[in-house]
Amino acid sequence: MQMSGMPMPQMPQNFQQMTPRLPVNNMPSMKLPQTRLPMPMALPGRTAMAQTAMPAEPRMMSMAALREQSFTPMKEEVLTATLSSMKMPATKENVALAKSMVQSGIPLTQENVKDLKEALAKLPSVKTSDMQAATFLKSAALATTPQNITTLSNFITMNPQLGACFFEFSKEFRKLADNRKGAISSDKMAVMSKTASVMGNLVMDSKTKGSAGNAKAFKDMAGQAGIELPSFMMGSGDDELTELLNELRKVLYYQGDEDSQELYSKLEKAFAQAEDVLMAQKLINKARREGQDNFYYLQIPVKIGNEELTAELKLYYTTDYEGRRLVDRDNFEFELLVPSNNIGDSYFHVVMLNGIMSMDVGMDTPGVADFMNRSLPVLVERLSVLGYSSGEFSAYVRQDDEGVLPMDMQEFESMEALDLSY
Amino acid sequence: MGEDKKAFAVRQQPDGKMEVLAAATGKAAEKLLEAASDSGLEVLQDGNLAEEMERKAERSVSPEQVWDDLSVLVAEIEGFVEELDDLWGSGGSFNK
Repeated sequence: MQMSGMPMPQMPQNFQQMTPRLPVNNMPSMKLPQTRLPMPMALPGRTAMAQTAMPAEPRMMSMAALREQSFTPMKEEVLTATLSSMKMPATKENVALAKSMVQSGIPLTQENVKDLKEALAKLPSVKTSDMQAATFLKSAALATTPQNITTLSNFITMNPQLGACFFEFSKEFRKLADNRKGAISSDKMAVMSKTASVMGNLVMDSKTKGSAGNAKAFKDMAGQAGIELPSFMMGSGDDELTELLNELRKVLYYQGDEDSQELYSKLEKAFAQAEDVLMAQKLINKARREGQDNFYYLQIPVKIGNEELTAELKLYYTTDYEGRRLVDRDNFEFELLVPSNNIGDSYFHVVMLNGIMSMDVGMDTPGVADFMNRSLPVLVERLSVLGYSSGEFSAYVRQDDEGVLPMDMQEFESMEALDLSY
Repeated sequence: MGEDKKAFAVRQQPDGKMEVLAAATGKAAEKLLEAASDSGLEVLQDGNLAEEMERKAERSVSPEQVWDDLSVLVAEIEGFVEELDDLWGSGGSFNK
């Protein structure tokens, strides 16, 4: 095909790479002002896949038609062969990094491997979760700094829950206030008290706050987690909690009294974890990856009975041609995991299609799934009062690992490889 | 496209409203469609254009509105689960 009037893209020196097979609607498209098709492949309504080749002459691009057989199941051997062709040793670490790269949709090129290895070399030691964190950041064009990698890596491995962090902070603060009242300066006490109060305001609690209060807590929490919410905030600023935690760190480290050290240390542990969870959410919510599902991820502290638990939300969005994130009111999708004391976790998968809402609810056991099924008509009725039209609502028994995944990666075994070498 | 048909190239604003960038009829509409399509703009065409645009403007909402709606929806679901949890613990049900 000849492309007139268009600059030729810069070809990488080593163009061999594996690429995950994308759904058709994610396929890149380009305009070809002048084309010369050597075979009758482009029939209306049919999808054609082609492989590009090095240009035979300037301003030319050759493309060869691909068939289903061009794709092969992805295996580790494919990764080792590619690493070898790039003159990189197929060490265990390199293969693990390559695997993480293709799972994140990053082309396995020499330059990309080098970039990631350089970023990981700044860590004291490298775990698989560090690689996953680094490749996630790179796929989203976010900085692969040691801090960002470590924050996300800890988030993947430890799965900290914001509700538990808030609860722990509140508990340790009360102990400190009771036991060391006279020894704590008033300014220090004021920062701790305000932090505990802001945390309390962010917790959803149906019994004391009602629906309106819970809706506000939810929106405030979204703002703290780095989700862009232009002007709704009423009272708390987007970064209020992070700023308070920063302030608290200064107060505790630079003005701490010896006798309260143990209590401070527990308090510090609780707020340091809260800081990490907020930072991880901010990174995830900043990420927008080409050719992959994009979503907001939010942990929502929820008070159920006497416990502070954590609900999780994943809201999918699309982007327009200028890169703005959009959620169509009539067509959207989200996952919501709501924990509870007696019936376990309820995993809602909600799909709104052309203004009709459908819901699948995954429960832990057949008994609670049946109970949920019998109760869902009540939820349907309540949602209709809110103006929602309902389609299919049903509950089922969920698999152990089914839930809201903040950084899901494509399963390696389900991927297909396409060799673009020539 | 017939002579009486119109085409509008539109762009969505951050607040969700649709901005009409160009409009044309007849053969000029065909050229507009082509140019707008090349630029990645949305093109609307048919006799019910006004209705279609109104529907799109209503449907495409700003992030603020989405989170307002979502906060109420999530609060409703969370409250429902909490009630269900209490009922299960006490052996009751919504249907009794």
